[in-house]
Amino acid sequence: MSHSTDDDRAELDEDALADGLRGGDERCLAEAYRRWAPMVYTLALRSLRHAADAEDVTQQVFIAAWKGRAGYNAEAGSLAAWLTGITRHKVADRWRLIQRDQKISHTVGSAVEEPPALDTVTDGVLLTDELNKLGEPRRTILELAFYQQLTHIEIAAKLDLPLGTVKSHISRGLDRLRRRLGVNGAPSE
Amino acid sequence: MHHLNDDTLALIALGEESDSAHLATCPDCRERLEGLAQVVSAVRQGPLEHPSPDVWEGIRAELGLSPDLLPGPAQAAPLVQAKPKASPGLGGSAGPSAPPDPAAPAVAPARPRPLRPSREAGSGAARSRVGRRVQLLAAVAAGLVIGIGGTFLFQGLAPNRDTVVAQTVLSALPGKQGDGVAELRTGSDGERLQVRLSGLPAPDGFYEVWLLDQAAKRMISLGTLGPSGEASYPLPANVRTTDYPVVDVSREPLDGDPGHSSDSFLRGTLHG
Repeated sequence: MSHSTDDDRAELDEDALADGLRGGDERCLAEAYRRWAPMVYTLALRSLRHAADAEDVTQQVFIAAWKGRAGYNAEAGSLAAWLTGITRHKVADRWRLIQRDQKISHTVGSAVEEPPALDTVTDGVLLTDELNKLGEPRRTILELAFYQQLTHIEIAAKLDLPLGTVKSHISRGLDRLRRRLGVNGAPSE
Repeated sequence: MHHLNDDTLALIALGEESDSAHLATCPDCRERLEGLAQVVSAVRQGPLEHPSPDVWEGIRAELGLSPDLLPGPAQAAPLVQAKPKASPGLGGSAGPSAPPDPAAPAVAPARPRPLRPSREAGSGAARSRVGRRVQLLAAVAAGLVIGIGGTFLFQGLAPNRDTVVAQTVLSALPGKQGDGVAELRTGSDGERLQVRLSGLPAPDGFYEVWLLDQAAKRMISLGTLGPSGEASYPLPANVRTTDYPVVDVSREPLDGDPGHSSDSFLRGTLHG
């Protein structure tokens, strides 16, 4: 079986999920949460840097997504990209509150925190979400290359796969993610 | 002039191979490399982390959703399996009336949302909750992952830092579908077999994970597998995978018979 089949199937399921969500099926919200809460939460966490704030934002995002589900347009982007767009707005709102509080409470001369660049963080979580959707063994191969920084020779030995297979999974997987970078690119504010 | 091939560019983007003289003179290859390098640096920010179960409880309460609605794979199963498109003739039989999966992992029960320290107290990294995906990688990605040791969600994985002792790719047997990876991990609570599978058709019954000896005569059942395709099984302390090196995934009918159905889908050999 080919891994592109796995990847395509994931996309088909997402269409059904979007339809169900728009139709008001609660189970689809639960499924969207299962799939994308880590992405939403990680985006909020990397931007806000505090778990409790990030969890509040995550909660707000899914509540807003449910209430605004009629506004989702599949042609404008994936569900994941739509959710990151909502997250960016909630994160920006939260930062405004944080900075306002800091300006009020801090003595003159102390620094007000600046938020990190949202585009970079958004790319990171969207691509990691794509990585998680890849079929095996491609996903594991890429994770070993990204996170453990193993060489393709080490990966081949570890997984007992031919070198050429590993190299091909790496380059095709990277290329797939690169193309997603264009498709899913950070939504304009 | 020959351009760099995709494999070489990918390895350069990952930092595994160094720059080539060609890149210095070829804007096309530099541009291709920049796209890949952007992907690498974006993903290397780290794996995704999981929020606490309280977050879902808050959403459910706020929206007045039904109390038994859980964000777990048990809910996902009918939605996913009802799609017959992926594997005609194999995946369509279960459909929305698929039996409840005996292996569907329990999601942590609702508990009151704890009071958290305010923004000024403590570092976010130290308090951040680290999810399952992080745990899979935590042992070896310590240099990249922050905040190890939080709670774990959705599956009953041990929260300790463990290390991979052996690993195998699970391949489909002739005429069967699916693939995956099995890892033998060791930690403070002993050995576990962690599996991550994909592409299995929706079963009429359920899937079960086994360890077999080389001759496939003796076998140990590790447990059933939920629709997420991911699970982690503790190994009995006196079971050695050198004696039972073969990881087997079988499809089991709902017949109440605890024995192996002989309907194996995937296999791989640890220590192979």
